[in-house]
Amino acid sequence: MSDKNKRENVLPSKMTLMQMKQRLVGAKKGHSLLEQKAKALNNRFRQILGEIREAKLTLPDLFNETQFSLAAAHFYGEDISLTVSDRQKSDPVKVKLAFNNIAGVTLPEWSESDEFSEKSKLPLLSKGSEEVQTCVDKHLETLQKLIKIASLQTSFLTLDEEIKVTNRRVNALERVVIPRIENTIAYIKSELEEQEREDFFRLKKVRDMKDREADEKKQALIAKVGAEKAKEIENEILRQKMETEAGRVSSNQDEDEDPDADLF
Amino acid sequence: MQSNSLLYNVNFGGQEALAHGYKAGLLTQAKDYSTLVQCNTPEDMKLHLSNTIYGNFLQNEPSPITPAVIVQKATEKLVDDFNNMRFNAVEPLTTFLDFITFEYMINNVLKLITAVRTNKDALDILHKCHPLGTFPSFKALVAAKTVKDMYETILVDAPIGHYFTKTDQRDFDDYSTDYLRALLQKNYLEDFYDYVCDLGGVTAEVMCEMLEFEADRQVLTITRQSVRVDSLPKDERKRLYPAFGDLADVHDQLADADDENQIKQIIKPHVKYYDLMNNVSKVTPYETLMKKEHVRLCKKLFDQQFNFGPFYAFVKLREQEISNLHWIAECINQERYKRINEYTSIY
Repeated sequence: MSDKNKRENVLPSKMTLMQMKQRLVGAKKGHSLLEQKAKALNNRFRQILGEIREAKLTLPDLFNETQFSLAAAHFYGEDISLTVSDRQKSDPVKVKLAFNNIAGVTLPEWSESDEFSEKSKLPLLSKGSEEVQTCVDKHLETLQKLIKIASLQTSFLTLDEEIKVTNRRVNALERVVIPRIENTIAYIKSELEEQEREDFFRLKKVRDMKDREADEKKQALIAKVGAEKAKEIENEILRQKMETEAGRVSSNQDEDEDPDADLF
Repeated sequence: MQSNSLLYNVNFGGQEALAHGYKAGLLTQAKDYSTLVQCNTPEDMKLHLSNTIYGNFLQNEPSPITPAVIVQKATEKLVDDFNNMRFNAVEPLTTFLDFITFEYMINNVLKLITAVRTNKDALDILHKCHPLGTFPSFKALVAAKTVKDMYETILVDAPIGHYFTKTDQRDFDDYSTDYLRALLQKNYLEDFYDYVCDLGGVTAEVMCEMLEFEADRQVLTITRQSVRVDSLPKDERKRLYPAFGDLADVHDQLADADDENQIKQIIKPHVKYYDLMNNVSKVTPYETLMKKEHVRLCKKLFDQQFNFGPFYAFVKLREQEISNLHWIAECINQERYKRINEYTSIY
């Protein structure tokens, strides 16, 4: 597969060379930008990982304490089922959703709504109300921790996806696109050089032929009219040539006019 | 009637003997609690409890025994013992024992009302109601679909109906269930107090002291909690105070109190409660001190013969014991041995 894609199939010309060069510049710039993005994403990724780890480590103890505070509430409150079922009237706890932007990636973030602290302040008039209050507070605290962990985990997953995509793009640019373009440029350059050489060679050959023809004519003339007369005619031809040159410069005449035409 | 010690035993001797017998069967600190707190699993608890009055109450339960199961079975035993006494009783003992159950009835009825208010199926709540608190038309309450229907049913049929007449219909909708319970409790205590005073004799003496303590406990708890949380208006607070008790003379001042120090100042003349509030700390919370006092008074009820005190004391002390067992079982289950000694021991 890579053999076929080593370079693109384009007509090797100066224009395509220019286009290819522009493309190369664009590809290199894109590559460096994407690398920066990948670096930023990775940083945030590692940061989130640390935060998740910390939060999760505190979770087992918190759960244990919460469970135990429930047992304590049962003991001191004797019959708390009334208080509990009464509270089921009020709305469940709400959570707000906000979006953060990290290097172009939107990450969701949940936070508790403002009613949170008010939830815990309902009056309790029965026995053991203090312990029930502690139980409520502990549960709310656990809930807050869980909300935080949930939000960190979704960010983690989203970032992970994004990092994979970005890395794929970076690698693609680095290993496929840029080498292709570079190879194409090299090919075009080599083709152009070869064309130039061919042109040069062709020109040389034509000039050689023309020189030979001129020589042959000269010899023929000398054979006809003698060496001195041939020289005079030559100078005459040269003079006429120079006049027509001057005339051509001042009036832009047609270049195809052959100054030797009226001689022979 | 029973002020006459000669004729008391004719009607009530058997029951009183039963009550004293149950008292002897209560778990003690030395023998029972000290072993229970060293158990490693609830199964060990079951083993130890089989040597006590509880016997094989957990025998038919499937293997991992949870604290909830222990409480349920122990409550069943309490109900059995109570009914033993109740079904063989004659007046006025029957009314007295009924009065004891009214407290549970209030709770059960309120649970059903709350279930309807929150649009839950009342049948689910039925099995969570305390068995001591059922009355014949209890199941009928489940059928009623709105609070108003229930209200009518309660007024007509239930023994606790007259506690509800003193509250307005409006109260059912506006106030929280906690407030309602406190209100009904107040009515109940006042009613019980009047009845007991009517009975006269030794019963009146001992029970009045007990009920006065209950009233004061309610007053102090409500006052203390409402200065902490601050969302109960003062006139409503006053409505919840029963009209008797040691603290009756300072009720008005207590209703106006704004913080704990003020409360302490107000109750300074009542040495017992003042000391209690001063002893509240992180190690001994308010509830524990109240419970200890309650237990002390209950034990005192057993001291005299030929009165109805022992019946009340038996029920309350058994309840406390069940609560203790629950706490110990939970601590063992969750391996929180540090706080396991916070139960309130009785003997």
